[in-house]
Amino acid sequence: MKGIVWLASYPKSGNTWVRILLSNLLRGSDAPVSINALDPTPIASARHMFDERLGIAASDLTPREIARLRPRLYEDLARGATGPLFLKVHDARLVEDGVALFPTTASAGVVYIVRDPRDVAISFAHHMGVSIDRAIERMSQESFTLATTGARLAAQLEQRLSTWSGHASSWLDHDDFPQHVVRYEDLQTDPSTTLSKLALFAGLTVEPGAIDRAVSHSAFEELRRQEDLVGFRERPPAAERFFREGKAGQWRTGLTPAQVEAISRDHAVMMRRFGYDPSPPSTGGPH
Amino acid sequence: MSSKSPLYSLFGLVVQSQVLCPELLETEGAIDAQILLAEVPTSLRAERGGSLFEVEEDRALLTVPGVARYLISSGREIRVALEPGADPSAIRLFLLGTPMGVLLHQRGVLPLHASAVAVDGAAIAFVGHSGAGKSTMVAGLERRGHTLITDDICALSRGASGESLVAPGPPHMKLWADAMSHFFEEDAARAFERVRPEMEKYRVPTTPAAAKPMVLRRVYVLRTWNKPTLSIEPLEGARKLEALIANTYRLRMVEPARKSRHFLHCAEAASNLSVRKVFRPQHAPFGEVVGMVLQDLGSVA
Repeated sequence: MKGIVWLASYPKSGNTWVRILLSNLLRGSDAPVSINALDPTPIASARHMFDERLGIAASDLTPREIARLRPRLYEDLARGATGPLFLKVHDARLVEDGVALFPTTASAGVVYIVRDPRDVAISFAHHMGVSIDRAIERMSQESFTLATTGARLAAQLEQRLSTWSGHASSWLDHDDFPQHVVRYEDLQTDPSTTLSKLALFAGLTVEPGAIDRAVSHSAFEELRRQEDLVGFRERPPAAERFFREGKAGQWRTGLTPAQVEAISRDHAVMMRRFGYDPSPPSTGGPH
Repeated sequence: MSSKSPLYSLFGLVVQSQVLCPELLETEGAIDAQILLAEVPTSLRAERGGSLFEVEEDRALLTVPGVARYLISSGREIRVALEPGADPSAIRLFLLGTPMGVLLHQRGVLPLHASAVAVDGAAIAFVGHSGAGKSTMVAGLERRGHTLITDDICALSRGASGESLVAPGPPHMKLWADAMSHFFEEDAARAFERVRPEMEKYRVPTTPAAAKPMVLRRVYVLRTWNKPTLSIEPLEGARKLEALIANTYRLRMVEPARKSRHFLHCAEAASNLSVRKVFRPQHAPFGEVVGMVLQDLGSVA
């Protein structure tokens, strides 16, 4: 693939894990890459990338002007690409004033990373330092936005997420460019197969043994070890640690029945689409 | 150009401008560069550039949609073609940013993405990305009586013995509303002009620095981190050079043929400077950060 391959996800869905896997795969070195040097996969909303590439400061522009110029940034990045250019992104793929934030012409494809929204709620609450109820509420808000500009300058550009379901729909319900879904849960149960499929999708040339080595360099214990040793610069100040549990299905003990029900009520359709059974455990069995 | 167009003192240059900039200092003397309201092509058909700019050896074109096109030539001239309905404050805001920075590059002056103040008769500069806290830092120092030399673009020229000299930029700081709240009562804050009508970012006039360039003694690289503590560490050797290169203003708009000159300039500047990296938590109490830097400066011989 030549052009931008979006690593798109709602926050706390395994995007960083995929970036670490990819960074290890692309570097192919004998030692694990530092979690603080994931340069092969920058975030699309990085303020300094906007300023440097476009030649004007986003801090001199209104949010609306920034939204209109971001497509030009990605077109510029894609023009210089000689292969797949991986960009992490949490924004929903929105269309403003008839212009797609992530233009089709710049996009080679999207790797959409998804995780059971019930586990996302727990992790997102820790990440933002808010209650689980508040996290669930935000996951149902159409207008929910990260790094909003107002009275202060945020380190990143504004990112509108839409709802958890709306986010997935924005990236997957179109025919504009190829898409590949990676489930967090599959990364956990079978990381090698999951990474191989991702590499195949992105057209990466993979040498024998490279996948298994990248997987072992990206093992949760390794990430925790590195975070304990030197810290992780992408950890938000509100969170005690970034690599916290790294487990699937925590919601079974971590959420109240009312919380489980709220998430199912908000997102049942999209949950079924990814194979997440929205029926609460107390009522038993699938529909 | 009409002889009535005012002459402004800016980054050590006498700049005559048809775009009126009441926030700048008027001056007299031989004209170094001119800003003209004139026709500007929509493209240079240059091979090098980005979505909003094109670069040639002695010319660069910047397009700010809805505001203006700026053609910067030979380090002597900026032609400005206004877009219909463009807001005057936006025209000036962008003019004094990227186009001025590119003009300095063309003149062989090294513009750092930095803000600077005078401390004990020497310039101290703060570099870092947008949002790293440059403006807030110099505002804190300015409020404590240290003269602001420049905010956002720091123009370095070579002194007789290889030292870097900093010429003053516009006599104002640009501060977001939350930074203003550290320094001004709400009523006082409202009296300042917004840099653009629709933004919560204000232009705060400062006492003009002496026109004579000042020796740059130290550069602080500002970084935020997610640890709860403040820390300052020295950079040595190649890391000093890297810091100056990485914090050069609009480096992508430097024509490749000029890159080696830029590199040499950075290397020479780095060898005559101390460079230190400041780490702070994102929401560190502001006075503490300024206090730590002042304490650190106490060790400057």
